[in-house]
Amino acid sequence: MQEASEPLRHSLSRLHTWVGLVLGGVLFAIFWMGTLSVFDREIDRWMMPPTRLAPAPVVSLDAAARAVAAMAPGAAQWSMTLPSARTPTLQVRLPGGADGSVLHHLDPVTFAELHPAPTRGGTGFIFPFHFMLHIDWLDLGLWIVGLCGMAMLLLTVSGVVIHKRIFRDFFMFRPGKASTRSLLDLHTGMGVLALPFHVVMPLSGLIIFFSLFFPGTWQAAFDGERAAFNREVFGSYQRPKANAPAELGSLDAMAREAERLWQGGKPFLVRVTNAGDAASVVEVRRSHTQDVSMNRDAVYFDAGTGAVLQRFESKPIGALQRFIAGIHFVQFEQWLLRWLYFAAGLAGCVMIATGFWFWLESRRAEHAREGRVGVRLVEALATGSVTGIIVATLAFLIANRCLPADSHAFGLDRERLEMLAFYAVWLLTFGHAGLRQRAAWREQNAVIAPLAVVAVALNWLTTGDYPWRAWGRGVVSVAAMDGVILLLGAVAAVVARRWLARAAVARPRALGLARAVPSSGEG
Amino acid sequence: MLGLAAFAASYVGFALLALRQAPHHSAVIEVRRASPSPAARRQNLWLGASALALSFVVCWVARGPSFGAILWVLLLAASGWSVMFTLSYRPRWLRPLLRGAGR
Repeated sequence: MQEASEPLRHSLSRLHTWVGLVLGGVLFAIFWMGTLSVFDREIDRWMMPPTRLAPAPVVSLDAAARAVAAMAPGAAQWSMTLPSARTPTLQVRLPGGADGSVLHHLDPVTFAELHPAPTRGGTGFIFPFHFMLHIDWLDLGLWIVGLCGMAMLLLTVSGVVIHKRIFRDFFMFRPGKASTRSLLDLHTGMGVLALPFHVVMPLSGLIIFFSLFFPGTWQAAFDGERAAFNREVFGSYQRPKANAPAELGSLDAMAREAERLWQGGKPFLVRVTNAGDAASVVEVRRSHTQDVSMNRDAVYFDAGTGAVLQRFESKPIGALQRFIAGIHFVQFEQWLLRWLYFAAGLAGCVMIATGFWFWLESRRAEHAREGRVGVRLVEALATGSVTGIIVATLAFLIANRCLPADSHAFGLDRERLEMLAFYAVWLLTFGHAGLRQRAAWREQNAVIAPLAVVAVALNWLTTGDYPWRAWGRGVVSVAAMDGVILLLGAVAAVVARRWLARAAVARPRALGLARAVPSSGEG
Repeated sequence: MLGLAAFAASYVGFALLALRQAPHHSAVIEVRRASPSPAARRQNLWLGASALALSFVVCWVARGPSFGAILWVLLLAASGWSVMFTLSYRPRWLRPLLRGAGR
């Protein structure tokens, strides 16, 4: 990178700094929630104890259909998602509720309905937070995340250009040196070594939502006709009702036929539309667990006879989009890869956090001397964004283990109360950071450790699943999640202690500075 | 098991490449301002690059082309951080590599 001219590097450096400052907080939230989403279904198991089943073999679909018919006689449309290693329940979606449909978890062997206390969990709260920040209004959340995806690409490219010694400092981390030096080493080390990850993740994220962010791409190709586009890309098949009654044929036979057509690909979802009608359709979708690509393969059957009505497979460009989406969504069952995604995501979090700290530490003295508010403002925002969201996530988990199943308060139901716990605590951490300034880093880190222990202890007390018992009865997800929470607490405790040590060393110097310029330091 | 082998290969590969650089070289042999000889630098370049390539082959064999490629890229990141932290906290652990690959 020696060729980059000084003016270019200088202007890109300013760009990197400003984009990082303005969007770093949102980027950290996206990275943190995205990293957790790698294990969203495992988080679901932790937050919905009745669904903590040891993985069971695939059910008879016809028996399952009879159980569904008993649950909801006459339901016009229903679907079931088959149990998998990560979600061991049979998930049945039936009409009803405010959103038009309600998800029920069934034991895949006995078909008894499981009743987890209402919660959004990992797939309903943490994962959507990652891509739309739970801001529905005008799709604003999606657009902010899209903007952050673009910004992340900009930050990555500018970061590489302004890094003067990218190859010489490839493995450089000097923890003994001044704090700014070691923070910058960590920032660049986490960024450069995972550079492909930091490029591919925002890029594939943007490509997943191409029809929203880049509507011109499909509008030009399909003359703006959404229905034609949907037919071509999603393969949706519909036919009008016959208004004559008919029985449902054998779902097991249809699933076998789909497997034969897919040459061994397994079905994961069965959806029945216009159930009970002579023109009823059964849609069988293919599982994503075996390939990188998140295929949209589906076979549509006549519900009565089991004859194939339509078979859908993505065309080349669609298939490429599904492959890129698959790299981002990590729906394949590859545990080593899953943990590596998690590690790379955490490294991204460290990169953003150290970026903030480097900016703060290298300007702290100067801003204090000149009486500027920059450091104070950024410190409050950065602390709340980084340690604050971690504290809030733990509060979310703790609320899940504390709230009774039928909780109702402030006009909110139980799952909303869990979210309230998250947002209220998050807001508090910003307030705390604004009041306590530099000390807030240490204090919020110091709070994470006991909260982690409380979360794991509450899981033990309320469900009896202490880590090795969960492990022993085949619920590895819960044991591993407890382990990760405790590890997070331990790391936070170490960071808090080290901060304490460094702050103690730094204090006399800071005092000396304050005495030298008595009036200007107080903003 | 193959995943572990691929990680080991990329770790050794990155460590050899790091040992071409004077600061890391002197940290490992605990001699200030020591530089590796040009011959050792050349040798470590080829050995290191070969180890990284080997790790890619192992990933491919273990998981096929698409999973293998993703696995390799992420293993490179993980082994790179491991080498980075080894060099800053336990540089002596890399001494056997120095002996094997010549100074």
